[in-house]
Amino acid sequence: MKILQLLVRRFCSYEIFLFLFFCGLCATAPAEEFKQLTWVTVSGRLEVQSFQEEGNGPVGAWVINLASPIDIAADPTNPINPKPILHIQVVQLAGFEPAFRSVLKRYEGKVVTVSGRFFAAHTRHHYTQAVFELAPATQQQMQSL
Amino acid sequence: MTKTFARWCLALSLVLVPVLALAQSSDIQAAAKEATQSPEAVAKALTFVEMLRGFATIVLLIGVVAAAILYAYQQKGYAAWVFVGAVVLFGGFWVVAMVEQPFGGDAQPAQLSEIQAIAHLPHQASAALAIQECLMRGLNLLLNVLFAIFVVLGYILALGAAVVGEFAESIRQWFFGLIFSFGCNLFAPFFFVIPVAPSETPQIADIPPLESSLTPIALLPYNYRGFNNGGDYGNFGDLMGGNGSTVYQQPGANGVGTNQNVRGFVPTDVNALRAALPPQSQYLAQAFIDAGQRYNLDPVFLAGISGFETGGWTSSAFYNKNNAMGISDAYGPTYQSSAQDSIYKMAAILGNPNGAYANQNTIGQIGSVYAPSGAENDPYNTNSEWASGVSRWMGTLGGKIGRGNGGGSVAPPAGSGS
Repeated sequence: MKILQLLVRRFCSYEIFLFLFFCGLCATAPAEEFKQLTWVTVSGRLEVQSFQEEGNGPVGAWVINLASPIDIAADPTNPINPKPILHIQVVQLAGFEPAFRSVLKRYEGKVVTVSGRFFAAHTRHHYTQAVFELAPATQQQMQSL
Repeated sequence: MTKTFARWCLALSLVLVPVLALAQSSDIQAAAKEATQSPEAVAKALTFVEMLRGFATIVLLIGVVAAAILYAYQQKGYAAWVFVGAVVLFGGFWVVAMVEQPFGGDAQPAQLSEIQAIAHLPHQASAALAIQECLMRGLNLLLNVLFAIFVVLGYILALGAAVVGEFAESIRQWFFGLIFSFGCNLFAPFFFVIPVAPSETPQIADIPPLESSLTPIALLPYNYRGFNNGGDYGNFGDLMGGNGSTVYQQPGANGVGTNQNVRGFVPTDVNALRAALPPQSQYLAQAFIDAGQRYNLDPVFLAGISGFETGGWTSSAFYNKNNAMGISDAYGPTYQSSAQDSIYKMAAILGNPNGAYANQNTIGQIGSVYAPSGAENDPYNTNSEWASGVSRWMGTLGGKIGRGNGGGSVAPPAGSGS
């Protein structure tokens, strides 16, 4: 304890105070926050990840592994999950026909920029805390490329 | 006394803040989930971490403000008090941010009355949220800039001191710069942002009355031949009059078709629906009808989802968690206050004209959001089966309640969530 006290007294100059202040702000700074159900564009790696679904065992799902963690603001109109979703990096994709999986396959493992909207997981078929509904325009664009 | 207090506050924060920030990284979370095999435990731990982080932030702010005041008192200069003002200002902003994320405590589940109240949010609430959003985004940008300035400044000072031969000052500034560099690397993932395109829709839209989204309903004959393969877990055997060895037919052959439009309430006789349901779920008939009427959905569609999600009302989630609709978070089915409540909640989401299903009208379209198609190597093809499974349940239940000539309209072919 004496040593710790000595170290604190030795090194806690006012510059360090200032550093710690900004360091603390950065650590507690919310990651970029997205609104639910608002159309946005995000970038990330398109991947297939395996999840455990109750009663069905492992299920492979298409996900976007975002470049950095994000926060998703609470949706007060959602009676199932009205809480904010913090520091997530992997989101499941939704809103596409089964046939579109062959298009997604073409982009597997690649970094893509896609438009869509986030919403909170609310069914047992949603494997990540937030789900990203691909915008129809993005699907058309991916199909045509 | 104040100086000692401030220093101890800062020392505590110095330890807590980086550790907690690391604990919240997705890699650590993934490793914890793998190691414990208990996502629920990890979720609880993360809630605790979030609470600790809030505590650490408050301690940090108290320490910094106390130190700044002490510094200004000792210096007695104009610049020192400006520094105090800046610290207090930033602290205030951050308290606002913390209020928005109140230490990760569990929010109370919204009850029906609360949902109704929320659904009629006044415009003033939207404006307040928009202003708060602008402030937060502005603060985030400002902090990015300040952080970059301080990193560069730390290194310039260190280099300058070394050049002029102030060895002790150089060491001190290098130390300062190195910690900054470390801080940058450690916190960058939490701080730097993904570029976002401008929103095309209002941030918070006032939800119009549900009646406004009523759509004309064209009549379509139900095809209710055969039995159905309800849920993908649970075993309901012959609960609905089948013999447990029924040969299940392809979707559309014995269901209502996945192009069936399920928007719009279809008057349904409660006694008929009750009789159509297996004994353990008959008490839910009124809830299906009430929820359908309130949220402008076909009650048989709600019953069909319930049948599919609970394996014909035999699943553990239905019996042990009052969960009649497969309501889940990312970790599995969640406990509901009552089975009826679970029906109301899911109907509220499905029927919200500004919600996740606002662009989906048919069973197939809703299925693309409710149960997104999995990868092609999905061994059970689970989610792709959702629409056909619900369709089959609707066909069976519709047939039992005598819907030989109606129940919805056929929408145009599904357009990928459009």
